[in-house]
Amino acid sequence: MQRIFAMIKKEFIQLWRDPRMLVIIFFIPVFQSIIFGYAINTDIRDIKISVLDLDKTVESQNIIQKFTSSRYFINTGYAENISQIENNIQKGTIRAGIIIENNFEKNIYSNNTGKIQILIDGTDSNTASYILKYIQEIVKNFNIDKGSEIKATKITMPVSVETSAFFNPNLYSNYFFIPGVLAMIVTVVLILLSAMAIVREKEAGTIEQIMVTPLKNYEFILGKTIPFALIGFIDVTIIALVANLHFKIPFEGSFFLLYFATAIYLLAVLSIGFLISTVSSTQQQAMMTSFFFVFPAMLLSGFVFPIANMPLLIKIIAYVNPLTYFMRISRGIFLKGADFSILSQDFLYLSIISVITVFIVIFKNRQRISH
Amino acid sequence: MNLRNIKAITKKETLHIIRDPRSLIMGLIIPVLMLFLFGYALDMDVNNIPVGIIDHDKSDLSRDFISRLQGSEYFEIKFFAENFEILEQLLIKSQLTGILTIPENFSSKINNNQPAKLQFVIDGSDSNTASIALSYIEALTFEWQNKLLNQAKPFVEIIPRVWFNEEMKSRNYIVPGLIAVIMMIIAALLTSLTIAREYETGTLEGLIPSPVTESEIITGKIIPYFVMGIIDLFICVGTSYFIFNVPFRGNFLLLLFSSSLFLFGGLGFGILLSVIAKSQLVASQLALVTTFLPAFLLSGFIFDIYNMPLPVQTISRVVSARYFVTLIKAIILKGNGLGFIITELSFLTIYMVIIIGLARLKFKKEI
Repeated sequence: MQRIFAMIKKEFIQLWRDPRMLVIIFFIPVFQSIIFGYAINTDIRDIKISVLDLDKTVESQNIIQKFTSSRYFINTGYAENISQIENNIQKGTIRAGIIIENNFEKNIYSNNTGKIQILIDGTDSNTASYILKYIQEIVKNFNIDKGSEIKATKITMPVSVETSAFFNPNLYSNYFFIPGVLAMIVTVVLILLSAMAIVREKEAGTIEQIMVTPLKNYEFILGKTIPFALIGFIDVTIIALVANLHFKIPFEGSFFLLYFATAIYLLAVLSIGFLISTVSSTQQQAMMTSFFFVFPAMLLSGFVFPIANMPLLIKIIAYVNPLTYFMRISRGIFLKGADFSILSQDFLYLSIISVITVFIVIFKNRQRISH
Repeated sequence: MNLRNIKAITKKETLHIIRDPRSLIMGLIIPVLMLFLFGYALDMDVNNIPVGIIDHDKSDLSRDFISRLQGSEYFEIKFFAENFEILEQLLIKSQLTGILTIPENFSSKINNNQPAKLQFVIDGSDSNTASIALSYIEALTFEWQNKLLNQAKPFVEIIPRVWFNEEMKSRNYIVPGLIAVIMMIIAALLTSLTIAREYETGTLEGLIPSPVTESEIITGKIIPYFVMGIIDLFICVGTSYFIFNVPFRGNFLLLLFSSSLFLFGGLGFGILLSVIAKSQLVASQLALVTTFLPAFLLSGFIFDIYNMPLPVQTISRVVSARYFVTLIKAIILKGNGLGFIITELSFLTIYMVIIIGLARLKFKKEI
């Protein structure tokens, strides 16, 4: 016990010797969660458009007014011809062009259909589908209005949908992403720290010195791990506070449960970091290998891209990824106030992965010593 | 700058790379593997949303509506239930994304020409999926009632034309952006440890008495990694075109030229980190924090920059990947020529000059 304590002390001294590490470990997570909290936003507003009115009538002005007064669109100016719109889309200064065709008004009143051409930049398919959705909504409402106006009878919409969103009534994308950022930042910081841990001693040659001390294998590992685990808990606390106090993300569940999940998750992350450390002989290798883990872990965790959309083979990778479960638990606790019984399945899988990685570390370590 | 000295440093650094085949292989294979994995895996299109249904009405009309829902590719009916609580539990457990409730008097109200209300509850925690699902259900209901009313044609109709990515496939926009992100990360990862390593192992001392100047060391160190980066680019663009069938509409030479500018900036940034940090641990943390996450989140790769609040947009202006993501999408998808991308190119050039200049300024051959 005393020896573990000495080892922990040594690790902390080593870490704090470079004050920049202090900044990296505590300040950067705060900074990142704030930046990303603002940056990650899929609520699309203020889309720049340009309008070409070939009809120039009351009705065409009417519908243009509907577009420009909606909070989704900003009219950057009227275009004089189609090629001007095409050119601006090519340059990327507008996202969509709205072209009111000739005889728009005449067609409406003569029982024909008035036509509006929409030109959308599809490069960003997500934004494009939102633009299309907003335009359809506006046109739908225009149709309903015209219907009751022209036919002079109020057409009752026989069926309507009353919608309500649970857990995130205003559908803020912040609510979804920030609990994910928490899981992500903890992973990025800790994988790299722990992956570098043993390699650094190998490169500096100090590992031999440790080998000749009476320090046992498990004491060495624990001594190395406990400081990192502490850092992990502190980072989780800081980011959760930023999320709740600064971004006003509701924290419905229990902090204790989040810590419990963090503890299990850290077992897996630190084990993987140590595995990287034991199979690497230089810090460069350790860094590349950590990256090799972090990048897929992040993209295949459901952080941004839904796992349900992935092909089977990749789904399997996503399901053995510990970050997937930690992310789900983090979101569940934050937004849904989920308790242990609801999250039990995620906890179970996360624990299984953690236990397996810990066993691999123990096995690998025994091998290394017996050499 | 002496060409012979640069050659010597380049040769030394190349030997260093070759001697560590694992890092070499990772430098070349990671990008391809990433592109493969993510090109297939990343898809933001929303379909087969799992929904549960409570039908209190049990009439022909309600069944007709349900079958209309069932026939849509956007929804998948997972459960029928009699009461809300059962389905609510499943919603909390994320086994359902939406719950549709059809009230008892649904059909009688429609038949009596009174407005009938459907209730749709959605799990809002994934706001993107939720808002798309809501618009699907509204559109579907609108269509269904129009059929019911046997309504004449609408007064106004839209004819949408989507450019550059006609089918609005998310893969077409993710893959080119991914190439940019991968290049950025690889570039900084490759060089961020090179000089810190020499500081740590003390081999920089060996260079001090030698006639090689600081500029020559930096140039010599950048060249071999530049070659690796360009090979990565070729492999990535090839994969994108031949395997993912992402159209390539622009000029390849233009792409090569802008990628080179970007790569020099990225490699220079790695060197700068290395020089400032002087420790591999610090350099690696800095590289990951300053390139990986910003390139991923602040570059417009997935999240639209125009959507971000102004201060964050300003920060994104110093992320060089932002310009490269715009550029690569413009060249690959839009087929834009030099005239359209001159702003981005100038930013990349300025960035490169400043970063390499800073690295040169900060780097002194002393202990």
